[in-house]
Amino acid sequence: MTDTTTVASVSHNRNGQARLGRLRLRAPGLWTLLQFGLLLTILFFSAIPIVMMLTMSFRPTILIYADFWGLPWPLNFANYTSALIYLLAPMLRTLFVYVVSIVGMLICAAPAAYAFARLKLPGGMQLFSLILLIMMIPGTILLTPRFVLANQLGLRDNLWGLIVFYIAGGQPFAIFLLTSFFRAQPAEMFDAARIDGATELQALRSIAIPLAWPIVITIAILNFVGIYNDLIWPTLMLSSPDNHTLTVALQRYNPGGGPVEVSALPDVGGQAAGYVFASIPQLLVFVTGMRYFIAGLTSGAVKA
Amino acid sequence: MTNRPLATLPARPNRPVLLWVGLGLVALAFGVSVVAYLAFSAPGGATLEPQPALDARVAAAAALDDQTIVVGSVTNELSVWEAGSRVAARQLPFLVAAIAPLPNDQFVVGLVNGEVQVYDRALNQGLGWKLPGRITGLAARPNGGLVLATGSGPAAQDYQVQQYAPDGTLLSSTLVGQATRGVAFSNEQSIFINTKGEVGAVDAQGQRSWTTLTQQSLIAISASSDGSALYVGDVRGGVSRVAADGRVLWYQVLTEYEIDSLQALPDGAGVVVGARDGSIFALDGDGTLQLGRRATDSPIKALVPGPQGNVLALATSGARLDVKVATLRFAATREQLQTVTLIAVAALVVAALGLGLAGWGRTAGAIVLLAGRVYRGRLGYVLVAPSLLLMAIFTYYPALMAFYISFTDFNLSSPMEFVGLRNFELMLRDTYLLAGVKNMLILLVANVVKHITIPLLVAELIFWIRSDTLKYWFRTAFVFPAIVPGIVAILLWKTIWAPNFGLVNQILQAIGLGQYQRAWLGEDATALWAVILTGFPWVDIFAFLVFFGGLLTISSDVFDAAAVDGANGLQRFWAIDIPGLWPQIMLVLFFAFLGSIQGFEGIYVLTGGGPGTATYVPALQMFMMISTNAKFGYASAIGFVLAAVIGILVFVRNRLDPQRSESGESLA
Repeated sequence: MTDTTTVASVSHNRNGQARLGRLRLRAPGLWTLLQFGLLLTILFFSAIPIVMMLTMSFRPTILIYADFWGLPWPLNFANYTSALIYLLAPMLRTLFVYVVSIVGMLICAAPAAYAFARLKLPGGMQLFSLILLIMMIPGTILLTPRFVLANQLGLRDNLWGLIVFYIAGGQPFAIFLLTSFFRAQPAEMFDAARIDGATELQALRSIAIPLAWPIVITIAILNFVGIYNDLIWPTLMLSSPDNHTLTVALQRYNPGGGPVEVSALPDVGGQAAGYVFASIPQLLVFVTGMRYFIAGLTSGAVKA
Repeated sequence: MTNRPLATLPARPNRPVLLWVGLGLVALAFGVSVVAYLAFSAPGGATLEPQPALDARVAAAAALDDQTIVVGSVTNELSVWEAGSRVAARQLPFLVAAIAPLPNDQFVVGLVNGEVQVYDRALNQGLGWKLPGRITGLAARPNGGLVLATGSGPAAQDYQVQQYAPDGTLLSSTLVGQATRGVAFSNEQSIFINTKGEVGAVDAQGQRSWTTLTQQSLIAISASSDGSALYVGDVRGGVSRVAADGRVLWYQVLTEYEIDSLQALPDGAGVVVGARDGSIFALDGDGTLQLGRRATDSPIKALVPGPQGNVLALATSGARLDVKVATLRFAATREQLQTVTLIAVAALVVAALGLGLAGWGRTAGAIVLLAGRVYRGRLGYVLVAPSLLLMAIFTYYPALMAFYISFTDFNLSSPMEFVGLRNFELMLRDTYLLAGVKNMLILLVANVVKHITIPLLVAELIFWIRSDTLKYWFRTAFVFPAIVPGIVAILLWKTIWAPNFGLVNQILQAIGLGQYQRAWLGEDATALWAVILTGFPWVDIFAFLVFFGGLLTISSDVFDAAAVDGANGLQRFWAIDIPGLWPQIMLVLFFAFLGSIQGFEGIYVLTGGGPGTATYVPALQMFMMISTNAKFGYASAIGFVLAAVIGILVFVRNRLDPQRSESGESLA
């Protein structure tokens, strides 16, 4: 959690600037030139795949094959039409899975975290350690038995099979973050609420959760990145195309050609448009919640 | 616990205790696994016991009673056997296609030339008649009559199911079309199967009452003598149970070979299955596999009722095996017991864990006190319960199960067997895995370099920008590529490396180096390098933000002092930044290691491990064992070894950096 606070204070660090000023006297202009030159070069290379994706998405594949370096003008939206046709359903499935998972995750985790933080719970510390212990179990151990369990419970090829595992899998981290957050809230508020006759559940709903909104958003965004980008678990779980989520569908997405595995000349334009389409939700989440995203990404060194 | 203020409750769990409890948990789970194995493995659901072979090449067989069987051989000999020795024999003009026992110690034989002959134990011939086609199936009717299937050839459409009275008069003849490969009598109806995959019923009047179409060409059928169950087997190793109204109750694929014989057990207890490759299977009435073993290397041609309710299996070679199925019905209960035990064990483990954590040497009085507090804190438990329950089912139970199945050959098509350390031995001989380890080590080095160098460079460069605004914009610009979902980034790189139109080849073409174009991901020599270079220039956002945040925490006084002492940028970097960033460097290193050991998504999408084993990694082998090979025991064992490596890593890290914050670090 230390990292969260430091990153949040990036742009307010005045001291840093002051000392920079003094160092700068020794540093010649050449250094500044080198500094920005390097930064811009690295940025340029980082942007190449994105630029390539955008230009390709606006060109018919046949033109890309004819002249790779041609400009995407006039803009051609046919690729986006097929992306909408083929990828909208998988995307909605992914978003459905995400929304249900995050709601379920918070509904289970918030009361538990409240109990750990605010209620007299004999054995609470032991239970809490038990939950932290889960975070120490490497994912490689769990993949196989979880698949077997999903098989035994008949959860294969079923979106709910993803959802229950996401909800359960997200519990430890959500409880951990929420508990720390709840514990930092002033106890007097809750005492006052109790004196006014509020039940614990009311206190949770009207005081603890509204005040914990930032951490709730952080949890929601982190899990968005996790669930939206998850490839392995849906690939294992979902067999029929009617259940494919976005990541699974994208792997085989080749709107203008045959099966992607055997296609020597895939519909690169169509695929690029599909990739852009798939990036839109993450872009929206990122733009609206960038602060939380960065805070979350660095908070206690999240899932790599 | 009484005097511990709740507000400070679980801020920082005591690590040594956690470690010891973890070790205790592992030891306990191991002990339990061994005990469970000993308790449950001894008598299997069904067992095989080889008997002395018959001196005959079996084509068809039937049992007259517990001790007596009659065999039609491929040399056209009809013989009666008692306790393994031939008591009567007779040469027939043609090959026996089917044999069925009749009441009164008689049996009926159908030949491929269309002859139907009734014999007694001493092989004296009774009734007999000849049909124009061949006989493909025979079954007795309980009143002494019989039902048979006949037709002219494998591709003919003229197959008939004929029902006869005990005296040999034809009662009905029903045209069923497609080549019929067997008949049975069940629930007052004659049931036939054909090569088209149909199961059909013909009633006593010869009217077809129902027909069910299955997926595969059917070649074996058996109904239990009491009419409680009907099973059919197909050419692709599948067995179905069919209900009295024609519904398929379940379907199980047992092998890739033809199902040559079936024997339904009474009371719906199950079925014994014989396959072309010499495998024998036993399923209970619910279709759960209780036995599956390659018993001999010749086709299991006949399965007949044997002594003590067992089933006798006869292979073409004459090999004879006793299939002991008496325990089959018990097996289902046993399985439930096993589950209950497992749950009980899990509860025990959790309880032991809780007790262990609660501390030792508490008195009974404290327990009573505790009970009172537990009762007063019941709301808390209610709030915690759903979450704990979810984690118990979907995380703790799988973790325990992983441990158990690592020592078994668990797959979905044969019963689980305890194999000790065989999975771990197998790893040492698995060429894919060994190639994967080598690649993993190369990728590990590359990942470490990629995660430390460029992100640190970028963090430093941005940190030393004068203007706060520019600083902010550059930081944002470097984080911006994160809007592209991971899978899209990988797929984009796959496009960049693509052979015909990929960006890399296009650039080579454009600058006149067209002769160096190649399928970067498709050639042994370049695939691993392409995987390593993927993501260039590797500004890992997580590492970048961690380093950047780390730089901000270094006190500005230190930088000022360095400036006063006249240190240049490079000196300052080595003397101040690197030591100051040590915790961050360790963190990034740790995650680079972790990602290299258990990550495989990128490789899975880019190359699938190919070409050959050029880019294989162990975690990918684990995934393949789950997704395509269904070798869960082996997959679990690989997972355990990888986890053990990670465990060592965690241990080393704790040693190197004991004061690090342990906040919410997840290995998942």
